[in-house]
Amino acid sequence: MIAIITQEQRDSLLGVEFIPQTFFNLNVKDINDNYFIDEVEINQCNIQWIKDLPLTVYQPKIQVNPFL
Amino acid sequence: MIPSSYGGNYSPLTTTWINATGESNPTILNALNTFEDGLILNSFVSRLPVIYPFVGGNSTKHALNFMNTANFQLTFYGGITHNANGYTPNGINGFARTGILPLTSTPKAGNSFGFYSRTNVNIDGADISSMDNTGSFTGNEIVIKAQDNNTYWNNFDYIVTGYVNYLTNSLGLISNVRTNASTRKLFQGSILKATISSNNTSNNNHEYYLSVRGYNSGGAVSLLSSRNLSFVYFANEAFTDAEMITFSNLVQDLQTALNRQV
Repeated sequence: MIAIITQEQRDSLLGVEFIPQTFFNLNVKDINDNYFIDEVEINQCNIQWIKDLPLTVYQPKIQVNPFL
Repeated sequence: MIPSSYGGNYSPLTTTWINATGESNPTILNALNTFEDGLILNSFVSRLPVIYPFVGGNSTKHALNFMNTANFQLTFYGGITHNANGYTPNGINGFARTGILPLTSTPKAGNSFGFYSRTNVNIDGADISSMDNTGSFTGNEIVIKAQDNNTYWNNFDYIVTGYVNYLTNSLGLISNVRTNASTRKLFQGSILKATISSNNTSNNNHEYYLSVRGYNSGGAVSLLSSRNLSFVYFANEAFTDAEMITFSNLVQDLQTALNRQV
């Protein structure tokens, strides 16, 4: 499960270390080109507005053959 | 250097680890110390600039390099679970940066690098990767048991040179060894799975990543892995086949002492 975030919310989390040695990954988008935060990140961080976001099922982008 | 098993306190690296982490769990400390003594006895210490033992169960301890706790600390990104079994990315956006540059820490003339996987799954995931970002698919990478069952691996050369279904599972210590300028080898544990003739023509020097294909400078993120890793290493020389047996046994014994062997 993931939580969709806006561009502004995404930008506000850049460089935020939410547990020691660990930063949000804000460079991945889902199939609909939305930025998101993963459930593991949500559970580990202590930022309340993130914990209040609704969860949805993650749908990845279709990956082309990465080897050829 | 006299190993601590011959008397005395913990060996030097384990002592440094205690000072850096405050670790007090005797199971962990004895496991690390026995492992270190094995490295000393077999003259492996100077050849291994980086080992991530993933002990202690949290991101602070899992970030540290056992061989030098001040160097090459991991930085984690995204969803990652840390516990007594090691480090587990979510396969969606979790990965780690090492700060290790291939040409410096794993020279083209000979090197070894690898990881201990506790997850048996087919996935298009790069558990260790440093690739050129030119689209040439050259560099240094290990992708075991991809969804097509093949293992893709390279070491300063092309990723699709010598890819075959070598492995029956994705468990244990997987090692990518460049023995010289024209040969690389794949090991699972102590077993030699493949020997490939391939020249080290790439001068790839992009940082090694864990659990994702390592060329993110262009913004692309691919080959995210969800495998649970409990050990990662980088060696600045090639291990011989005999040395791989010894090293693999040391790593397996370490995992067994920590009750997380596969």
